[in-house]
Amino acid sequence: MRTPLLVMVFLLTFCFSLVTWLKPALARHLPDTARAESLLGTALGDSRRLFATHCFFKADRYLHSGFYPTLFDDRTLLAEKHLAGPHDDHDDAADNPAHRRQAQPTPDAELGYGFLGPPRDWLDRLGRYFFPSRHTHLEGKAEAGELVPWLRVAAALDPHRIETYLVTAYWLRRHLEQPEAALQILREGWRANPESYEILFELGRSFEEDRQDPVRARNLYELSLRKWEKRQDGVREADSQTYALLVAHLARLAEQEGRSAEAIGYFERLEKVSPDPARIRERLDELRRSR
Amino acid sequence: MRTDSILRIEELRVEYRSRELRQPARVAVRGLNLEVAAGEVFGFLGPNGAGKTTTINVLLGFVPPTSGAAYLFGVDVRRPIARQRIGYLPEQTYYYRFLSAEELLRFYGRLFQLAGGELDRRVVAALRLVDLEPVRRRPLRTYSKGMLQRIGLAQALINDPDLLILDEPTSGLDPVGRMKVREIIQRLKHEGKTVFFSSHELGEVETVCDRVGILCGGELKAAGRVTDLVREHQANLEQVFLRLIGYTPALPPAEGGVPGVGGAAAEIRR
Amino acid sequence: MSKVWALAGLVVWELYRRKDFYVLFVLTALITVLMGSAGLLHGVRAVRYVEELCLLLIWISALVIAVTTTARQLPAEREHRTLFPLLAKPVTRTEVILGKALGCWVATGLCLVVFYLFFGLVSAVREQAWPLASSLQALWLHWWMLAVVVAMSLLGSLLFATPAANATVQFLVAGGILLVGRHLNTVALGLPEPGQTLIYGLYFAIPHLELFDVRDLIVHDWAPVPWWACAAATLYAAAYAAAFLVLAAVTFRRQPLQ
Ligand SMILES: Nc1ncnc2c1ncn2[C@@H]1O[C@H](COP(=O)(O)OP(=O)(O)OP(=O)(O)O)[C@@H](O)[C@H]1O
Ligand SMILES: [Mg+2]
Repeated sequence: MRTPLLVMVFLLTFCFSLVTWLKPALARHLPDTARAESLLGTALGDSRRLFATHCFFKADRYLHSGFYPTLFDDRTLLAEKHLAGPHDDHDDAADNPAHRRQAQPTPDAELGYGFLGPPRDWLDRLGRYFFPSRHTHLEGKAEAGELVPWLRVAAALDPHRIETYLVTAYWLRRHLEQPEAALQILREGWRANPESYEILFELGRSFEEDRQDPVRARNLYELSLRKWEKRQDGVREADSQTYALLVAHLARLAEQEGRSAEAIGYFERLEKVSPDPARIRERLDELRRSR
Repeated sequence: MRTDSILRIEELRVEYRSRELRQPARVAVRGLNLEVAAGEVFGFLGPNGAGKTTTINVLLGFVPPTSGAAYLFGVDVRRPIARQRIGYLPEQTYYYRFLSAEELLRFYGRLFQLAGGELDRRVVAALRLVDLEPVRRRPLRTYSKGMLQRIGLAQALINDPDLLILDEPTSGLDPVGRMKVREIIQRLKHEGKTVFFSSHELGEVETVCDRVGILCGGELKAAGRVTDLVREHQANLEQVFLRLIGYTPALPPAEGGVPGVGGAAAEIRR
Repeated sequence: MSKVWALAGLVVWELYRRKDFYVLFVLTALITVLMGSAGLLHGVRAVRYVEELCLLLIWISALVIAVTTTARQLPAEREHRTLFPLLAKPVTRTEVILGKALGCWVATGLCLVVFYLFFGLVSAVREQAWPLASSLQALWLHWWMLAVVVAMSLLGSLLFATPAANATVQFLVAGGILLVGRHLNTVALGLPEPGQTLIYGLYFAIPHLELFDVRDLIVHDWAPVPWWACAAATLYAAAYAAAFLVLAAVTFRRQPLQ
């Protein structure tokens, strides 16, 4: 009777010391984003971020009617940030397919293999009739509406994943005509991530385009710019695209409001990062001339 | 060789290979020769562990003979067609507990490719024979051991077999149940059926059997008419049995002593 | 053949008398309805999400029913010693194997019909449309996939010591194939030589159960699979099921009964 008791005590002590040793070690490795805020969060712990990622990808899968790469497929073949973010115009009519009820999943070459690549063997070829193997996008409001619940769940599970808010806002604004809901989710995102320049920029766009409130928009853009500048160089290099868009929006607003000196300043900054500096220079010359 | 022999066993030897390595195989039956003619009731006697069940298992194709052969109706027992005209009652009766008596009999009947009115008739007849008609709709899991033994007998009779192989048909039955089984065997005999059954009940064997075989340690010690054996050994069947299996009682056995005890003692001594 | 059908009928009858199927069905229905109404409460019309969930539950339940029912058959016959009176009848061991397989397959098929009727109800309520051809095709393919699973489980029940061990192995194998079976060729191509041939061989050897998984096509409203492909998949499943059954029959005939 004594021995099991001793073993239990020993095991408990061992577990306790293991935890006290592991906790700080783990904390060093994991970014402090996963702080449990809700009961669900506490219960799920870090795994909820995994679930959040899962839900996020689920939304993307729904966008493509089930056609989505798995762990084994070459994801690089799928354009990066494929789920429409604020930067790309994903909603072009270019890839609008015939309605799927008539469309059979088919491995025909002319339709494009996407990330799947050409079939490797007869089994592969046959198998492609049995799952969505063609690149299509959702069309219609009702169907786009089905992405949003997934994204909301993703945001609830991992409030520090910025991409979720941007994508949700994009769909709400562009496809579902719910700008207020978009504003709402962006505000939530900002509350959870006060340092995020991306969310501030999106908020600015919302105010500028949906609320027609250039003053609030300008304030938000400027705040976003300051946050961007506070970032380390690594981030700044990686996401110069947001910076360019930010400066472009600020320049346009300044130009519209007739503050051309300020506008010129922004255009000069834009010229340095723009992929098409010649056009910006033309624009600058025009502005200087009109002054 | 008699042409009308229904059951024939020739030089049968059965070894059970041991699961443990390097353990010698256990010989359950050695050099058994046996023949049962049509219309006969044959009692297969022997102490516990003599090899009766093993022999019956060979007859039904459950256990392959190590050497030798066995035939039913002249057909090698390894061919399933040999089992078309036999009825078998296992030593321990276990049936699908989720079925009722009627459903069980219908199922087994269909395995004999019976169907329709013929099947109905057979099911009713078998149930009536073993007095289970009133409880035909009850699931078998609510049956007592004796009732299960009786449903076992009924399923053995479902195909109206020409040869019945019964492994201890009266074990677990009360005196009335035993009487009943004895009556059934006798009735079948009158119908011209052949019955091959193993038993420890010497009294029962004496009353219903035409011939008996006494097995001990896998070897057939004697076979023949009960009256012939009794005359030959100048003793009653029980004494003959005990003598043949090599049991010498410390006390002279009382009249109507407990049969089967000798078997256990023989087992211990071996 | 009538003997095989009699044996099959016994299996179906047993599943009908046992309560596992009802439990799983009620569980599936309950979870689907709960999750579906949770979506309603938030004011979103999440059709595909409910359909997907419902189909996932159906797939899991059907797999559980098929594997546990089949894995139990022969060990139960042995353990309850009902195998002896059974084999004392003029049936061969091959017929026993065939009857058990057919029974398990038909029984799971009947369960599938109930499950898919429920799914039809769910999608009809939510979508006001019922893609009959797609649903029937999904049911058909699902059923044939389970034929392979049943045959595999029956073979496993002769090879593994306990039904629990067998069921665990079957779940692992079926789950593994469903998850990664389709990608083994991709994996193989990324490996150095001995591994590549090995994995590619494995890719061709395993029964590709994921072939029969057309859930995404239903959920996302794609048109049905072309019928010739459906027929090819059916033949494929039949070939694998037959192969496993032959193996099972050979194993069973060589095994001692006790
Ligand atoms: N499956 C088996 N594996 C190994 N040995 C076995 C097996 N079955 C029986 N035996 C052995 O074979 C011998 C004969 O057994 P069997 O069951 O045939 O005896 P029996 O005459 O039917 O006895 P009882 O009157 O107790 O039923 C015994 O020594 C037994 O231990
Ligand atoms: Mg016995």
